[in-house]
Amino acid sequence: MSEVIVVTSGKGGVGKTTTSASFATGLAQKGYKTVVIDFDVGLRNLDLVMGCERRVVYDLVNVIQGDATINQALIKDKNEQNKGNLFILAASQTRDKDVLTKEGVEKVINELKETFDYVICDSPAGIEKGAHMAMYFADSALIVTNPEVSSVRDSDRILGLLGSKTERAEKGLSPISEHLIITRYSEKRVNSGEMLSVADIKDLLGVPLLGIVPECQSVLSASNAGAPVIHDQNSPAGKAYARIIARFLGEEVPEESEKQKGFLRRLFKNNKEKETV
Amino acid sequence: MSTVADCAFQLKADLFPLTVFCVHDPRLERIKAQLTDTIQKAPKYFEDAPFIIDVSRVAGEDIDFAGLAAVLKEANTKPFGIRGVSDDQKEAAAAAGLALFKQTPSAQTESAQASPKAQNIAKAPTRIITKPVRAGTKIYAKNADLIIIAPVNVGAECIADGSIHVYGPLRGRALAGASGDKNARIFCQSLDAELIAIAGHYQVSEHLQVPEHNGHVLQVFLQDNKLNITSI
Repeated sequence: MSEVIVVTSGKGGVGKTTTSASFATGLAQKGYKTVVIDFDVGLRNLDLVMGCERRVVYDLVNVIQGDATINQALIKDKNEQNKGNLFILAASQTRDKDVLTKEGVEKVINELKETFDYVICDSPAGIEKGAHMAMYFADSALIVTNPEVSSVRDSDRILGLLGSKTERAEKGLSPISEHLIITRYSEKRVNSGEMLSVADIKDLLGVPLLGIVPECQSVLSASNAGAPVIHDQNSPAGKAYARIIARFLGEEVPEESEKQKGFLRRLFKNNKEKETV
Repeated sequence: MSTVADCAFQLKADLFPLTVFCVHDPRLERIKAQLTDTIQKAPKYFEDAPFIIDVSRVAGEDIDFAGLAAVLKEANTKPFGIRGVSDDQKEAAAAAGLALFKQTPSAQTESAQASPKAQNIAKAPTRIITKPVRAGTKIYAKNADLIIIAPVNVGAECIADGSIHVYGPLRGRALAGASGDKNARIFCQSLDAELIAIAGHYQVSEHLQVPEHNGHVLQVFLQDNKLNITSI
């Protein structure tokens, strides 16, 4: 059975596209046929992060409006590690979110569900049409949250919408399976009281935690290189996404504490690595 | 989509506001006299006005249903239904061409809609919420108390015409006595609310003076139009 997963947050800039890219890549590497769709019509970014921005011919809006078939719009990811399982459906850069219709999106998603195991919907920020369409047909949701108050409040709002303004909620079907992903986490800043702790966030949102992705410079490098950070298994963020994929697929993986691995590193290094802002 | 045009008719449920003609004295001459007088004051209102006759106040007395219907029709109104008839009167009423309506205990709610006196409103059953009230959600317990056994998150709004009980952290807004009941209270275990209000008298989180309560329940009530917060 195909599963539709929305990656959403409410707040902008928390790591939805970064997470969508790595999450979809991780599933493909595990052998699942995966497609990731960019719902940020007008402000598309997923194609950049996936490294296929120079191969976009047709996009989601073209397919909805009947200018192209799904197969013409789907872009196959070239990375060999993905074993040909990963496809991208880019957003339009010239239109805006008003062109998305419920019927159009439903048709696209249903058609994709016929061939793919996982349909990942990369939601735009906000709670308007783009975000609403991205979450409407979801079976599961990854709620991406930064450990700070405004992000948590926005995530709470999104959780409210997931529970009321989606197809599953409106038709009284079993509720969307919710998973929390905390991104840009810095243990140092949590200890100094600047950032909310994991316990605080869990208490405020009340959603099961899928994983914690630490603040990591490799995320920017990955975005610049057009290769999702999960490919970089030397980076903390890359490893965190690998753990997230494992947990999502049912494995029990403990979270890595910065203290454990940091101790030896600090003992032998000259503090060259500075904590990013 | 299935074609609506296929069927000859469709049955739908709908609500209509109607005037109820409450009979206090079944004597036709008195009704006729008062009718003439009343219509003179507002002729347009009564022209073709559909009426439901209510005879519950004169239960037990002899009523000439046909005559009553005739008097009303003469005055250009359209009586089409009747309520408050006893079982032995049903046949006569139906013979006069009046549809029988069930007597509903709605007198109280009607007067409540006309003049919002908090004391006379028929109270609805208490609403109980067990899932977290998330940011952006608004819950309104109309004519009822509200019990929330979950957190009320920042950005959420809980409104009740009665009292509000929150068995979880209260971080959003709580407005009790929303229709003016000054006796409504708010009960909670932890008060970190954005705003609390009783019958329109409110206080924002900045001005909240929450007393030491050691985990005991707090209650918020109105005294001399001022909000008081005490530990129980």
